[in-house]
Amino acid sequence: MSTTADAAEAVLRVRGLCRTFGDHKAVDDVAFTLAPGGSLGIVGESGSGKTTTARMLVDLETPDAGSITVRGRERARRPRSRTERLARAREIQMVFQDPYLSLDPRVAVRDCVDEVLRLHAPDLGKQRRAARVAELLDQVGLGTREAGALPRRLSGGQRQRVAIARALAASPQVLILDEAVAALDVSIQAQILDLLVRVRREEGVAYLFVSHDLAVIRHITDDVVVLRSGRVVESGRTADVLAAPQHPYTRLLIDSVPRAGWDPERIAENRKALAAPDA
Amino acid sequence: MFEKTVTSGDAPLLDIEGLTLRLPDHAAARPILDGVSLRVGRGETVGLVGESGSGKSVACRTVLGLLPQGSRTEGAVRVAETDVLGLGPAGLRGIRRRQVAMVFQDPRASVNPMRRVGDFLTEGLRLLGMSKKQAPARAEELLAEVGIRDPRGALRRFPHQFSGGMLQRVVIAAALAGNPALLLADEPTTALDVTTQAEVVGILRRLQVRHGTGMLFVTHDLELAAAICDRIYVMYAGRIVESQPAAALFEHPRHPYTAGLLASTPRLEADSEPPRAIPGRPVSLAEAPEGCAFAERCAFAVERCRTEVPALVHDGPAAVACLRAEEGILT
Amino acid sequence: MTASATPLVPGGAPRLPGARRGAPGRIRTLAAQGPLFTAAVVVLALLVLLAVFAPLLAPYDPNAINLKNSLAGSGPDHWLGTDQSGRDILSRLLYGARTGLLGPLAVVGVSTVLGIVMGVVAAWRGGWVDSLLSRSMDLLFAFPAMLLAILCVAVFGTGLTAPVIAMMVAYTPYVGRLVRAIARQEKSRPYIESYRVQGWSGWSICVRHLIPNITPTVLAQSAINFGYALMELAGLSFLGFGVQAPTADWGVMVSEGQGPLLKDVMLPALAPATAIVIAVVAFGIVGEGLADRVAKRER
Repeated sequence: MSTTADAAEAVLRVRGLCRTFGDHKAVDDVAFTLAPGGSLGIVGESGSGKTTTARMLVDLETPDAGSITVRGRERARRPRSRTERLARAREIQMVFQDPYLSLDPRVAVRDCVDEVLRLHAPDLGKQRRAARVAELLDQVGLGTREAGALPRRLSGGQRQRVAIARALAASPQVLILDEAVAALDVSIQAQILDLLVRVRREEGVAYLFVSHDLAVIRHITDDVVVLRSGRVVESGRTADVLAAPQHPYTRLLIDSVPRAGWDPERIAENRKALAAPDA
Repeated sequence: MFEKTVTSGDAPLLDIEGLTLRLPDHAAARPILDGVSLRVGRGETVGLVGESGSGKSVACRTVLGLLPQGSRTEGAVRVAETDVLGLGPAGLRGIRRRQVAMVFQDPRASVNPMRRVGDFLTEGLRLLGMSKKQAPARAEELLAEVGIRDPRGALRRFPHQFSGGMLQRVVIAAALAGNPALLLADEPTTALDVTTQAEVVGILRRLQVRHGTGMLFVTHDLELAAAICDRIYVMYAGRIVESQPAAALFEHPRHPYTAGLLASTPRLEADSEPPRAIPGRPVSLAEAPEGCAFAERCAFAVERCRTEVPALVHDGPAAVACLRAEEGILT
Repeated sequence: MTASATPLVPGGAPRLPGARRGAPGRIRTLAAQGPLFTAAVVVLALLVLLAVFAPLLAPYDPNAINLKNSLAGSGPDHWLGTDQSGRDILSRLLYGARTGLLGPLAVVGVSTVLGIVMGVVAAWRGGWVDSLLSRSMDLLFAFPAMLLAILCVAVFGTGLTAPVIAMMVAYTPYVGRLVRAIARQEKSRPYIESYRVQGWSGWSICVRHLIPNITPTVLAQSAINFGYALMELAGLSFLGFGVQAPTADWGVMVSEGQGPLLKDVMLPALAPATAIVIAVVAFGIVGEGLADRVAKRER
């Protein structure tokens, strides 16, 4: 199940991760490894457990079982002190799907980034902090005009840029992007993908890219894990998995993407053959 | 533009002509729809593609007489030669009941969550004048037609007991109950998973062919539109910028926006280029650019593009609204 | 460069006129809510002004008894006439606005603060803390406000204090339940979650982000509560459990007006009753209007 990186040098290593809601196994023995500065896609449909997995990595959900290690260190279940909480935050940050709900409507863009610096780099003086804010906003393509604005005056794409800058402000080692481009218009989506590619190159931050969109996964990740009903059904180099899928479910996912020669009837038959539990 | 006088025989099922829709002045700086002309023939599948704010959904909704509050319209929206915009509430109800049905993006928002699926369906059938006895049987038939296993059991269940894909099938079943001549599908699969999307689209197409229904398929997904539509209209900032038969649009886009949209869509094929972004962002309602609305983002824009509004020029089955379309800039 | 000349927003919702900051924008926002809302705000503002400046505005001492001029009709000397003891009704009405507004203000102020604290703590902590707080709020719910007030009067004696304390207690669970529900919803929003991911403590997230964002909704409810509290306090005064007789108070005035009513003199009871109805309706309209505004902002 291990992907490219060796366990020792992995920045993020997940083993046997489980989470049950009631009698529904949302995440069932999920394992993957993320190389430093690498990009790993977690792909799946709704109910595959991809979002629950991401949320467990940032403590928004508590795992029932399994281990999550960052640079070989086990992430403690419950942070006991402020120092521990902040240290964990600097390990993994996250960009959420809906840019319209992921920013506090009352906080201006500049302050949104500034408060992260105040929390994580309290020694930085006021001026150096302001410079760093400008630098971060510039990195995601936002100018001074946007910096002073409240979120409601920004478009979806601009808001997502703010969310990326905010996440980078904590200088995380891993950035989780949970369907981070799914809510954007196609022309804007490509801009944000460009930005993400550049940020990874510049910062060396590793991506965990959670998405339902295989075409996006193909362009933004090196490795991929395919989830179905909470279980990993296939994993490997993204190019290999997409070129020669081993699991019929992966094949079905690939076939389902609309394009020339797309045949909905055949996809429907294949889906039935896989006996997907439905309704 | 349309020289020939249409006779009832070859009149298109849906004929939107020169439709302009304005919001009250303080709410928008430019018209939401600006001279939109669009046709759907009987049994034809027509795609209406655009990004958010392009006006595609607004255009689609006008066909049912659903206009934004306080809006003013010019032009005509004819369904089988009846201008919908001139109809009163009773006339609109007639159109909605008998001729035009609509499927929305979110099936959960289109079905009353407190009532059983059976009630939802039979209610519609009763409106169509079916007797209390016949309605349940017909509802069962409809559900079977959209591929729901155990349709009789499904009638007794509540919407929350269905997955999104299954519920969208129920909505489609309800929409097709009156055997409408025209089906409006406003992003009907956007909220669904890809594999479910394929199924739902498959069902839509199959039923459409079986009943000879015309369909206006509104989507932001150019690839999806190309895969299922006969013809496609591309909208930008309230205007139609290009229309072509689907295959031709894909092979030879004539408007730089269409080309840009195609280039910015990430592709799955192993040898495909990485997506190329269109710079800038869609025109908001608060902006009213002079000239071509796309000029700001267009790599081919010249001075003229910023001052002169390009007219939609027809060329055989294609039409494009670009001042430089003739110059072969995209080849 | 004028900041508002070129809108930043592309693609987003059209910027509504009210979205602009500054006084003219605010007034337009008020007007955009409809004439009824504007009228209600004006009525409430007037009411507050009348209460504050009652000593300056009142033509007579509200407690000056003049038995020779008992139950005078309205006229140039006494616009609203006089009551059984010959006191000027208009003056008493103006002074009555003070206790009439002060009581509900205390009730709504304290119950809103307590309700926010209980509701937010319950929503944020969840688990046994939530169960404990929710059950205790349910328990308070079971007591009718009036009964609680009468109990309080039995313990603390009559006057404004006892019923106000009782109603603070009675109103808190209403606010608390509302706050708990909307705070739970808010807590699951990505923007709050992103603060958790950033490593902020629950305390600072609640104080700096969650509470300010739910406050408009809570205030809308509080405005409506204000009207109810006013009515219920007046009711208690009417029954003799609240403010006591000589004091100018709307409830007391209605109660005292019962006698004249039997003699077919309407004004002594009708004037304060009308004042109560106007105030309650105005608070209701403002509350609804505020709630609408919140709903609109949330799209």
